[in-house]
Amino acid sequence: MKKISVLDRILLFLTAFISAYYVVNGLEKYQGIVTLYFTIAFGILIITVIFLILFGFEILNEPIIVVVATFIPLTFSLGLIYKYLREYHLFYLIFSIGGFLIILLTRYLTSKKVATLALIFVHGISGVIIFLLPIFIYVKGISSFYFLFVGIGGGLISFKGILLSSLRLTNPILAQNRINSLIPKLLFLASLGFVIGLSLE
Amino acid sequence: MKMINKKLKFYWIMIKPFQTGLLLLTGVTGFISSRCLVINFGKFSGLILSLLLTIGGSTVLNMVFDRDIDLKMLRTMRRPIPSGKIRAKEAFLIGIIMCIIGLILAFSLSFLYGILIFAGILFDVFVYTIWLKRKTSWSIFWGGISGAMPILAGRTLGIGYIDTIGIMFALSILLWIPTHIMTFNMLYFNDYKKAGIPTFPSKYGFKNTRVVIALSSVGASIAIGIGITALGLSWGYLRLLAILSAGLFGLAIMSVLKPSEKINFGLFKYASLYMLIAMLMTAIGSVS
Repeated sequence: MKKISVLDRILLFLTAFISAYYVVNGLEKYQGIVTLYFTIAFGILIITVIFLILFGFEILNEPIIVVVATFIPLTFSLGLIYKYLREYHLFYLIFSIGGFLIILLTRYLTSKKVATLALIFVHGISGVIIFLLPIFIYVKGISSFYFLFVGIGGGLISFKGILLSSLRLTNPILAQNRINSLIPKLLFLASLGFVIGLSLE
Repeated sequence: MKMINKKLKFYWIMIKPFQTGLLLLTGVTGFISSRCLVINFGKFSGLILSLLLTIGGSTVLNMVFDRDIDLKMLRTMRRPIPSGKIRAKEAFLIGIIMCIIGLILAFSLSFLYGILIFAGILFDVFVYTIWLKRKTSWSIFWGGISGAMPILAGRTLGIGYIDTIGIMFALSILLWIPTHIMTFNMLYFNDYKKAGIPTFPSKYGFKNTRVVIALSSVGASIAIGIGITALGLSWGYLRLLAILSAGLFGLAIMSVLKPSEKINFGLFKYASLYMLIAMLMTAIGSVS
């Protein structure tokens, strides 16, 4: 398996730093539940990044990491839904809890293929929400242009999730080493997109 | 000149720069957390110098008293004293001089601060290293008390008395130290066994040790959380601390449920990083 390089470590450190900075200074402006959702999303991102720095790419093979990392797009999209489409929040919360339970159960009770497809499905839906909702909000004139960066971040983090999930399929989208070399870059750009977008919305 | 450089290099190794640096940082954080109204260059540099000399000096003294053990352990046998690069008598003298100068400086800054620094040396060198390290696996508790002294001393120097926040910060270090040392004990289990040092893993087994690590990491997180809350730091810092604590706890749980050398070493590194970030956060949060 590809060893984690110095550049990877620098990018991961910057990802953790940017996210930590936003957790400390950026979340005060939101309502309680949105703060909670974003704290969980950024928090799991920070911990995942620290684990990657400490353990290398092998940590991504741990089922628990894959399951917990699902919280990043789920809670991030929940935060956005609550803020901008509150009438759908309860429905989406039920979907998120159900989706998470399905990921958890399929990971431990079914074949790899079923577990992977469940992960791609839930990751995909939450990723599409994070990607499309900012565009919708911008077009409606509710937020500034910079909010589109959140969508870019969402697209990247979902792409990362789908790439990782595909590793468990017979024909992954890319070779494992190629995917591993992309992970730090995707995480860095995604966190940058989230922080720029949310700070300047 | 070459000779002096070489000696300095050996002494640099002997003061364990990373460990001393981390303890120094806790002391400085304790001081900054006091938001001391009268911060001047003399007081601040006196704090740094006194901590550096006493922590470094007591570490050198520990190496003198542990030289026979160090020689038996693969991890430590190349240290300057067991490998014969520095004579034990010379190191003893240097260690004593460093401690005495550090203590004079500490007492000149504040009597209470000096007492706490003296207590730190006493617990570290005499109670932990000389008296209990070879007798009981519980010696790390006393080592932990000495490790907790710099942050308590730093805060006490700033506010002039010992308060609950200082005690909470000290407690967090005291509880963090088992996470740090016991992971090390498991990682170098055979080394410690060979040297005849009683450790938690050798006395209570790996499984129980991992449970203790998990519990102590939760305790350390709670203690520092209470300290930071009582200090009045913003919610942002508490959120970040909660996140990092969740990571620490998660890793400790992983080490219990799915033990491996890699997870153990990762926990060891995470615990150090956790404390480093918690200290930086407290310091930055106190002045911002």
